[in-house]
Amino acid sequence: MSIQQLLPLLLLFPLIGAFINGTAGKKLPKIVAGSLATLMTFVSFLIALTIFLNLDQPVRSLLFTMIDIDSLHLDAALYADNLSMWMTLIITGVGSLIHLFSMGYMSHDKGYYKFFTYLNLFIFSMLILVLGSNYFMLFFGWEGVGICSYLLIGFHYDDEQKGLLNGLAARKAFIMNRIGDLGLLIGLFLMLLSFGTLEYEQVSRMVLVDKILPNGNMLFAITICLFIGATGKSAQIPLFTWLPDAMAGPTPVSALIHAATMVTAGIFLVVRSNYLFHYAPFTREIILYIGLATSIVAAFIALRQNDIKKVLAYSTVSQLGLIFVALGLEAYTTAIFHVTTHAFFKALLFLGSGSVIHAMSGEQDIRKMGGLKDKIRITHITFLIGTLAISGFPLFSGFYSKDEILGYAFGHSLTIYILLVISVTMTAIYMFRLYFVVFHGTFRDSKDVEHHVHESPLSMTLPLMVLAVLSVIGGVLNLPGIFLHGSGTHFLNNLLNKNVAGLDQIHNVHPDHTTTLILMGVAVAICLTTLFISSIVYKKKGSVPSEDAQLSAWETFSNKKMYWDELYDILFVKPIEWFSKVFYTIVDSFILSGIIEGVVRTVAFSGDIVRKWQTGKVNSYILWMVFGIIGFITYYLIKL
Amino acid sequence: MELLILPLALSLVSLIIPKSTRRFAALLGALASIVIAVVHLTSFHAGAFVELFSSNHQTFFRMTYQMGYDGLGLAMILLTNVIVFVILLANFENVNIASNKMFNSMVFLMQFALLGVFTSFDLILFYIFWELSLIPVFLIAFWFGEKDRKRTLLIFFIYTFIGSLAMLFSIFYIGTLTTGNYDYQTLVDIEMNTKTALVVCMGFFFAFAVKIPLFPFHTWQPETYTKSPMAGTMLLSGLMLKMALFGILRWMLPLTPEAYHCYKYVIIVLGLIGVIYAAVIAMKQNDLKKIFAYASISHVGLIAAGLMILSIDAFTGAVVQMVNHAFVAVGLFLAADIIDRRLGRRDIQTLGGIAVKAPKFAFWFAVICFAAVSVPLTSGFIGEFLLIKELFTDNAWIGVLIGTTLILACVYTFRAYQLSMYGKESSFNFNDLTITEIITFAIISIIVVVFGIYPQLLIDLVKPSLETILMTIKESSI
Amino acid sequence: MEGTLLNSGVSLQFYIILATIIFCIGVLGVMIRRNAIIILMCVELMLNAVNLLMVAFSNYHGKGDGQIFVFFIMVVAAAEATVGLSILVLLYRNRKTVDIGLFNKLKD
Repeated sequence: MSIQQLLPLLLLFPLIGAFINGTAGKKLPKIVAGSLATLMTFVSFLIALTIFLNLDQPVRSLLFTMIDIDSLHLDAALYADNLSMWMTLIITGVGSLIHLFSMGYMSHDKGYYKFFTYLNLFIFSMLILVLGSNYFMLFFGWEGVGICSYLLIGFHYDDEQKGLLNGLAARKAFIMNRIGDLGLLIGLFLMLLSFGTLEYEQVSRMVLVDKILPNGNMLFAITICLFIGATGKSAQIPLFTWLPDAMAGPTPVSALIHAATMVTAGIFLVVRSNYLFHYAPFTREIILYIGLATSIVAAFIALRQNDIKKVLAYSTVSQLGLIFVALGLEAYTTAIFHVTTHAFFKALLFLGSGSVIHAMSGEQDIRKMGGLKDKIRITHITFLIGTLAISGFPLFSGFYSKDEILGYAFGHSLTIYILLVISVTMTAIYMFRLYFVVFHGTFRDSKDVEHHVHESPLSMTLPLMVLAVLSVIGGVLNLPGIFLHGSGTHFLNNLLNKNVAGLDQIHNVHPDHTTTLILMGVAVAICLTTLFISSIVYKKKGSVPSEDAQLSAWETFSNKKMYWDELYDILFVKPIEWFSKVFYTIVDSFILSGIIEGVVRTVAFSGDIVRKWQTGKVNSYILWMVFGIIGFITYYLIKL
Repeated sequence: MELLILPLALSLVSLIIPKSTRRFAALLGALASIVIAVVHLTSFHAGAFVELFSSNHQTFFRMTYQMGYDGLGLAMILLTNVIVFVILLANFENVNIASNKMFNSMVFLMQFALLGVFTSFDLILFYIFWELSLIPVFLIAFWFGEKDRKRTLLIFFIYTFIGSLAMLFSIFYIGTLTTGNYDYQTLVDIEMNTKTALVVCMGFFFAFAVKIPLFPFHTWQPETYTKSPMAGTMLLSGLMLKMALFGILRWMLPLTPEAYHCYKYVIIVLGLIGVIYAAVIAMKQNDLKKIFAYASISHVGLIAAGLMILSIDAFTGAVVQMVNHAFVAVGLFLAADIIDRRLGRRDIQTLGGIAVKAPKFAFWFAVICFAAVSVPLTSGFIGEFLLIKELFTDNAWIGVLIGTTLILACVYTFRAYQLSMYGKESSFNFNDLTITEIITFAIISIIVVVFGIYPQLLIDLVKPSLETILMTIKESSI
Repeated sequence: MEGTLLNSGVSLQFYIILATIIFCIGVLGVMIRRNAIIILMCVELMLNAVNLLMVAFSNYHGKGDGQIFVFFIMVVAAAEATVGLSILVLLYRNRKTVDIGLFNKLKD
C-alpha cells in the first residue's frame, strides 16, 4: 500500500475503536473494551511507524473536498512530512502506553467503556490536528481535542462532592481554549485574505519559493493570531489557568492530554508555520517573553502546591513556557526535541502519580503521603527517573533538551539565560520536594489507608517502565555535537530539516564546544546542588510541607497560585455577570419592554380622557352636535 | 403544486381522523410531504427555476399568482418539511397535544403557509402567506401554552402584526411605482432613487426585524418562547424566524439595493449588539427555555449581520447557518421540554444529577449542545466560519467582536447543560429517553453532522440561486 | 313678482324667518327640556319647520318635488313619533319617569 492509502487508515483505527466502544461498549466485558481501544491506538502506531520509515518526500492524501465556493476551496486532506509523522509517533506511541495504563487505573470505574471511547476519540482528533494538510483541518482537530478534553476533565461529573466542580473545570478549560481558538480562527481568516489558501504546501511555497509576502503589519497580525491560538491550547500566559484545573480529570487523561500531546498542539502550530514567524521578528520577541514569563510564574506557583497533580500541572505549564522560549529563539527542532522528551518524562510522572494515587485510594495531597518508597517499588523507581529527567540530571533525556534551550538562550542574551536558569532551578526544587515528600519520610495518613497501599498491576507498571527507559535514553535522539563526532548527533535536527517546509532555511548558531561545556557544567551543578539540599531538608530532617495557615508571605503567594483566578474573576467574570444582570433587568425588562408598554399605556390614557365626553345624557350629545353643525356652517361661511 | 396542496389537505384531513390514529396519521402525512419534496429534489438541476403554478389572469388586486422555487426555495422547502416532521415526532410522546386534532391541523396549516412563503414569487402572495403563518402558531400557543400566556401572546401578536403592517405599507408603496404589478421580476427591475428605496426597505426591515428578532425588537421573543408549548416554540424558532431571514434574502435585498449602503451597517451593528447582548443575558438566566430563547437571538443576530455582506460566501454561510439553527433550536427546546415534562420544572438551579439517571438523554443533549456552540464536524461550524470570515473581511473589528459568539455560546450553553445534568445522583425519578425521542435526536444530529462534514451538498443546491440574487443586488447597488 | 310666492303677497323671507324661529325653538327645546315627551314634540317642531321651508321653496321655484319630500318627511315623522312614543312608554313602565336626565345608559 502506498503512503497515500495508509494515511487515512491511521485515522480510521482510533475512530473505529471509539465507535465500537461508544455504541456497544456497555455490553462488552471491561477487558475487551479496554484492549480494543489500546489495540486500535497501537495499530495506528505501527502504521505510523511504517509510514515514518518509508517517508521521503512530503505526501498529501486527499479525502474529499469540503467546501468549494468560488473564492474558497477547502479540502479535507492529510499531509505527512517528518514533523507530522514525528508528532503522530509521539501521540500514538505514548497514547498506546497510556491506554494500557488506563486499563488498570480505570478498572473500578463504571464509565469504563465511555472513558476509552473518549480516549480513542481524542487520539483521532489529535491525529487530524497534526496530519491535516491545511489550517482548516488543523482547526478541526484543534477544536476536536478541545471537546475530548472537556469530556474527559468532566468525566466524573456525578461525583458526590466534586461533580459540579469537575464540570466547572471542564467548562473553564473549554472556554479558555475557545478564546485561543477565536484567535486562531482570525489568523485563518487573515491568511485566507493574504494568501487565498490555507494549504500548508501552497502557503509555504508562496512564502519560501515565490517570496510573496504580505506586508509586515499583516504578517505580524497573522502570526500573533496564531500565537494567541497557541497560548490557549498550550496554556501560556494569559490563558494558562485552565490547565491546573484540568487535573480534575482522571490521571491518565492528565498524562495524555494535559502533558504529552494536546498541550503541545500550540508548539506544533508554530513549528508548522515557522516560515511565517521567521519574517515576523516582533511576534517572536513576544513569544520569547511570554514563554519566559510563563515558565517562571508557573515554576514559582509549583513551589508550594500540595496536590501531587497540581505540582505536575504547573510543571507542565512551566516546561511549555520553556519550549516557547525555544520557539521564540527560532530553535524549532530543539522545541520539538523537548516536546518529545517532555512527553516521555511528564507522561511518566503523571502515570506515576496516578499509580501513587491509586495506591493511596484516591488521596492526592502529598502531606498525607510519605515513605512510599518501599511499598510501591516500581512506581518509586520510575518516578525517581522521571524526576531526575525533568530536573536535568546529567545524561537523562531532559538534560540534553533543556541544555539546548539554555544554550540558545545564552547565545541570544545573558539576561534571558539567567531568568531561564532561575526557572530551571525552581523546577528542580519543586520536583525534588515532591519526590522526597511523597516517597521518603514516614507515612502520614490513617492506618486504614496504609494497610491498603499496594503496587499497581502490570498493565499500569509496564507503561511506567517503558516510559522510564525512554526518559533515560531519550537524549540520544538529538545528541549535541560534542558527544559523538559523526552521524549519530543531531538525529532529530537532520530528520526535521529534511522535508519540513521552512526549517532548513533557518540556521541557528550553535554555541561553540567550550561554551556548551560550561553551560552544561552550570546545569549539572544546579541539579546536583538542589538534589543535595532537598535530600537534607526533606529526607534527613523529614520536614513536611506546612499547613496553609503557617505559610510565609511568599509561600502563600505561591500556594494561592499568585491569585490569577481571583484576578480574572474581578477583571472578566464579575463585570460580565454584572452586565448580564443589568441587561436583563434594566435594558430588557425595563427600557425595551417599557417602550412597548409605554405605547400601550399612552393609548389607554388618551382613551380615558376622551371618555369624559361621553356623559350618556342625550341633551349634551345634542348640544355638541349643534355646536358641531354651527362650527361647520361658520367654517364654510368664512371660507366663502 | 402537490407540494403546497398536501399540507393544506392534511390540515383539513386531520380534523376528521379518529383520535386513536391521529398522531400516527400526522407523522405519515409529514413523511409523505418529505417524500414529495425529495422527489422534487431528485429532478432538480442546480441553477434551475421550477414553476409550480402561475396565472396571468388579471384578477382582484391584479395578482399573477406566480409560485415556484429555485435552489434556495427548494432548500427551504426541504427544511420546512423535515422540521415539521421532526416537530411532530418530538411531540409524539406528549399524547395530549399530539392527539389533538386542532394541533395537527394547525401544524399542517403552518407548513402550508411556510411553503407558500418560500415559493411565492409575487409580493402580495408572499404577504398573504406571511400573515397566514402567524395564525396557526398563535393559536397553538394560545390553546396549549402555559397558564399566564394571554398577555404575552397578545404582545407577540400585536408586535408582529404591526411589523407586518409596516411591510404592507411598503408593498402598496412599491405597487404605486409599477402598474400595480407585484411580480418578482418586475419588482426587482424597478429603478428607485435612494430615498424611495429607503422608505420601501424600512417597512420590510421592520417586519423582518421583529420576526427574526433583531436586537431592539426582540422583547416579545423570550417571553413568548417561554410561555408557548414546546411545539409552538419549535415552530417559532425553527421556522418562523427562517421566514424572515429568507425574506431579507429574497425580497428586501434584491428589491431595495439602492438603499443597501444606508442600511448595511445599521443591520450589521444591530446584529452584532444582539449577538453579544443576548449571549450575556443568557449567561445568568435560570429558566432553560429562556436561556435557549436568548441563545436563539444571539445566533440569528450573526446570520442577519452576515446577510448584509454581499458575497457568495456570506450568503452560503447564512443559508447553512439557517438550516443548522433550525435543527439545533428544535433539539435544544426538545431537551428543555423533556426535562420539563418529566419533572415539571425547568429552573436549572433546582435540577442536577440527571445525567446519572438518564445517560442516553445526557448523551444526546450533549451532542445538541456541541452543535449549538458550533464545534467542527457540525454544520454550525461551517455556517459560522463562513459568516464570521466574511464579516471579518468586511470589517476586522466587527468580525472579532461578533466572533466572540464562539466563546459566549460555550459559557451559557454549557452552564445550562452542566447545572441541569451534572452533579450527584438526586432523589427524583427521571425516565430515560423513549425510542421516539431517541429517533428525534438522532435525526437532528445526523443532519447537523452530515452538513458539518460535507456541507457541499447544501452549497451545490443553493449556490446558483444565491449567485443570481447577488448579481441583481450588485447591479443596482453600484 | 320677484321675491314673492305665487298668488300671495307675502315675500319668501318671511317664511324663512318663521321656519328658522320654529326650528330654533325646537332645538332649544331638545337641548334644555328634560321631559321626554316635550323633547319629542320639539323634534316634531323642527321637522315641521323644515316642512314649511320645503313648501315655501317649492312654491317659489314652481317645482313640485319639494312638496313631495314634505310628504315623505311627514310619514317619517309619524313613524318616528310612533316608535319614540312606544320607547317612552316602555321606559316609563320600567323607571316610572320620563325625565331624560335620569337616563344615562348610553354612557355604558
